[in-house]
Amino acid sequence: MSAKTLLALAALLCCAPLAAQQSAPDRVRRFAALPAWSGLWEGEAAADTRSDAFDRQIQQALAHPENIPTVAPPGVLAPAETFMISRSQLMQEPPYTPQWHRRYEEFRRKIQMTSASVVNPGSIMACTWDFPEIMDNPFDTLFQIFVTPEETLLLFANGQARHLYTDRPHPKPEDLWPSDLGNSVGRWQGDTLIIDTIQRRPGPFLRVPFVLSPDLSDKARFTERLHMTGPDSLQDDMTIEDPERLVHPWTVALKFQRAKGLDRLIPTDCSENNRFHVVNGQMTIESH
Amino acid sequence: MASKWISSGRLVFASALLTMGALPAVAHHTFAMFDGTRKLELRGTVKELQWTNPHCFLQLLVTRDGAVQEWSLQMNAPLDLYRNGWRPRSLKPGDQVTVLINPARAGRNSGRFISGVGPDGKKLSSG
Repeated sequence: MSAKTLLALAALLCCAPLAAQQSAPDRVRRFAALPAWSGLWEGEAAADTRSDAFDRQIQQALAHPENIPTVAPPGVLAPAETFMISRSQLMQEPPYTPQWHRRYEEFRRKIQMTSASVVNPGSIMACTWDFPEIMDNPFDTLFQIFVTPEETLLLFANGQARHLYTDRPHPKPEDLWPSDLGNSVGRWQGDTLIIDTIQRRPGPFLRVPFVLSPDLSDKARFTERLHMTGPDSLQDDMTIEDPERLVHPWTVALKFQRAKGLDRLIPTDCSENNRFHVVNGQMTIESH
Repeated sequence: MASKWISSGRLVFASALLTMGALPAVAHHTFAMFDGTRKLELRGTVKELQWTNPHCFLQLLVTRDGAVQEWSLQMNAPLDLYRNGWRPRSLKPGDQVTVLINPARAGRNSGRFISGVGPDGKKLSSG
C-alpha cells in the first residue's frame, strides 16, 4: 500500500464521522420541513361505502339495475360490486382517440353479450391493484404514508408499496422496465408533492378478464400533485397523458381522508385461508 | 320478500337487519357466487370463527330435521371486521347465534354473512 493510499484512507477514517455529524442536522432540518402526512389514509369513495347515505344510494341503484353501467358480463359480478366499480373515477372511459373509443365500445358490446357461463369464476378476482387504479380502488384504498427527505412511501394494506423517490431522477431508460406500479419520482413544491410516474406496464387498469377498464400504452405518463386540503384530508390531482391513445390529458381529483376506526395498518392477503375453488364451473366455499 | 327458514327457536331479527348489510370490502373473488336476492336466517351453534385473510369464516352448526349441518359463512376480511368492532374472540365455540345470510349459488350449506344476533342478544354487524 503506497503512502498516498494510506494518507487517503486515514483522511477518510478521520473525516467520515465528521461528515456524518454535519449532514445529520441538515437531514433533521429537511425532515422537519416536510408536511405531516404520516398515518393511515383511505379513499373518500371507499370510506363512503360505510355510510348510511351510501346504503340508501346503493339500494336505490339496485332497485333499477338496468341503470348501472356495464362493467362485466351479466351475472359475473354482484350488482353491488358493479355499482361500486362504476363509481371509480379511473374506471370511466378516458378521452380516447376515435380508434380507441371504437375499441372500447366494441369491448363493452362484447361483454354485454357474453354469457357468464363462459367466464371462469376463478379468474374474476383482484388481490393486487395496478397503478393508477390502486389510488382509486373502489373497495378499499387504505394506505399508510411515510414521508422522509429521500422518499415518500405509500404502503397499502395488501403489502403493495409506492416508492416516490424525492432525491433522484428516474433511472436511465436502459435501467427501467414496465411494472404494475411503474417508476415514480417526486419533488416538493412547497407542501405539494409532485409525482412523475412512467413505465407502467401497458394494458387495462383493472387486469381482470371480461371487465371493462381503461387501457393505456407504455407511453402513458402520470403527473400527480398530492397536497393536503385540510388537517385530515389529502387530494391527488392526477393528470394522465398517453400520446398513443388519448386526445388530450385526462385529469381526475382523488380525495383521501384519515382512516377512522383503526389503530394500525391491518394486513390483507389472498392466500392465508383461500377456500375458494371452482367446482363444475361454479365458485364454492364449502368447508374442507 | 327474502326467503328464510329458522332451524329452531323464535324470530329474533329486527327490521334493520334486513337492509343491505355486508358490502364487498377488500376485493378478492367476486360476491356473485352468492344469491343476493335471497336471504336465509339460520340459528345455530358456533363451531369456529376463522379470523383469516382474505376472508373470515363463521362455521356454524345448524340442526335441521334432527340432523346437524355445518354451514360455512363468508365474512369480510379481518381489517374490515376489526374496524367495525369485531375481534378474533368475538364469537367462541358453543355460542348460540342467529344469522342472516345470502346463500351460495353452488356448493352445500354455505353463504355470505350479512348480519346476526350474538349470544348476548346484541347485533352482529357485517363488518
